[in-house]
Amino acid sequence: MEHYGQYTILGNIGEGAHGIVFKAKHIESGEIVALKKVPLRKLEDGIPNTALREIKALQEIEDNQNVVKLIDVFPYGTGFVLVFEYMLSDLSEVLRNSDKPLTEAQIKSYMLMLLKGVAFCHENSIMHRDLKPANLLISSTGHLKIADFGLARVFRNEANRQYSHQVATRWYRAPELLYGARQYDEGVDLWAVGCIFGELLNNSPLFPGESDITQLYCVLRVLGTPTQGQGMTELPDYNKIVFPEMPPIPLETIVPDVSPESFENYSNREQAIDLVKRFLVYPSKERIAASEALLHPYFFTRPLPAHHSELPIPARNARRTSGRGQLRRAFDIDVPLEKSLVNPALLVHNVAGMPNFQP
Amino acid sequence: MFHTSTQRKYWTFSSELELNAFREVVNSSYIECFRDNFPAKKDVKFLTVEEESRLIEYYEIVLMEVCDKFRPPVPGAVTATAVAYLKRFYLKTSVMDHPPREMFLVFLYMACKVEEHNISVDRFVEILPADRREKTKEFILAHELLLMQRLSFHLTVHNPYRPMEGFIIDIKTRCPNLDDPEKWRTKAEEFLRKALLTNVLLLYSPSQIALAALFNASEGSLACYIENDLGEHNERMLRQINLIIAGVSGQVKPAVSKEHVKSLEQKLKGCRNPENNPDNKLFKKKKADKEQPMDEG
Repeated sequence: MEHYGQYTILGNIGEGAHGIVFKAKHIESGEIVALKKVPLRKLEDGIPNTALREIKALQEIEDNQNVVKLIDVFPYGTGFVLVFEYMLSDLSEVLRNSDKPLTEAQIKSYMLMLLKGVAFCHENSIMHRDLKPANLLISSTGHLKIADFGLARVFRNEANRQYSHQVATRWYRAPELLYGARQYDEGVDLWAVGCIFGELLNNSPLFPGESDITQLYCVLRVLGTPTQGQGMTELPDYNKIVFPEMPPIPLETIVPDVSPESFENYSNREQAIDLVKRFLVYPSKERIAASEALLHPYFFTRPLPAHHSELPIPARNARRTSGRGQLRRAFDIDVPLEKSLVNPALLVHNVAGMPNFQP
Repeated sequence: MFHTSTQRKYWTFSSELELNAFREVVNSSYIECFRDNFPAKKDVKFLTVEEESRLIEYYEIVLMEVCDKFRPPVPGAVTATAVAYLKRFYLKTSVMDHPPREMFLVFLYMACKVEEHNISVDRFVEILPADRREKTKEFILAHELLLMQRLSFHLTVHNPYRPMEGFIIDIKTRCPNLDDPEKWRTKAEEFLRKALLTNVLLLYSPSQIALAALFNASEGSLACYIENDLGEHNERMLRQINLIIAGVSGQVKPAVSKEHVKSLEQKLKGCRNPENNPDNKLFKKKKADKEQPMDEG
């Protein structure tokens, strides 16, 4: 079995933004964690900024129920390893693999957790910049936690700070980013929240653009062509591409009710659509803040948010078998005993400090 | 938020005494380690704690001078963060283990990245004479990880610049009959630069240092703001501020002379860790060993 510092590798979870993610076990405590390996070889400018940002963002914020916890960082070879709490799945898998559509109460529960996490980040002056279902991890208890702070950035209230506009994953990218804005704010996260909300209600992405241009078209088709005063027309790329004038379409037609439950409950559906609308507006400053959205009547209308035990907990990578194969080997009774035991030498320096320990 | 920061939790200390205790441990454990690893080397003259501190102080000044040489200039926050890294690094590491003459550019390069002052490593080494660029670049990239590790991966540094802007706005709103605080800016910024060369960054919160800078620049006229507008702990606050001012302008240490630095550098050659000397064969061996076992699945 392979060891990384104090951890035994149990299997592959997947490929992250900057490196492979492993499932592993802390040798001493048995705690299951996710290890994200950040290799540093062949990098022109050394340690990538994305990795530094992730460490920075996660080291400085206190524990929050809805933000994935960074347990430890340690150097390994010529790179380093980030240790996170282990999460079973993510929201994109929940959306894909659920046997039946999510209920209104379940959607509400996910939105509640997402908004709590986003509100917490924004209070701590961190904009995530890449919110999407795949970055919203689901724990074995059904809790949703925001992860992948590789693009996160500490924002300051400096009026003229310039940022890169190539940040968020396309479907969730705010229109100001699509128009090449270099100055933006936490509103880009709120746009993404609106898209995710729409996707949960709809069970399919709201704006599934296939390129940056069709992405803009998707947005414009629904919100209508931006007018003066909505903060779009002044942006760098606004005049580079001209779409025919389009009137806005009422969101009600884009986000039809999905579950039979909502037929019985018109007011819940109206509240949901009202809240989606508050996120999906052109002027970034007019998007409803996460902390304010948490007080929206939607969350206080029946059906109330589901308890986390009522949320689906799909298996991680149910279709991929490589990770499972390795996992099975880890518990194989046919493997010789010495191979499945932990080498005591790895534990010695942790135990040596104890009074009764004799090597 | 400073209150929940790693700076407050791990890098703000109670007193000079505590800082000195760290430096003594670093010095003595280096010497012990050296004797264990190189028993054949007899009569090595090690740097004393005092001498290590002199070199650290000298390279703080060098670091700040280099920052001023960049075109366009590096922002004040980058300089302050780089100096903070230097201070933190040598609380955990002996000068003899990793000499500051080699390390100080690593601090600055990392500070540029962390403060989002993006500059490629090739552009960065252009401040050096052409013949030193390639080697320095290699050195910087090889030591980033070591720096992060010695900083316990706590990369965020809270500097006094932002709180100072906050105070200026607050003073303007609350004390319209005071002098225009903009007048104090130059003097206050000078104070913050001087503060970088002292221990106050390791002992006080950035907002206290910022307030001390403004208080000092206002020549006391800010006392009414602190007394009337800053809540119930104002007496304690005034005491802290006076301690900071004393720490920054009080003990004017004579700058380390060039000759002294030269003799210290000479002495350092005899007692530095050969494994970390890029010109030593032990260093090359260690580097080769390290690059080997990384090729796993």
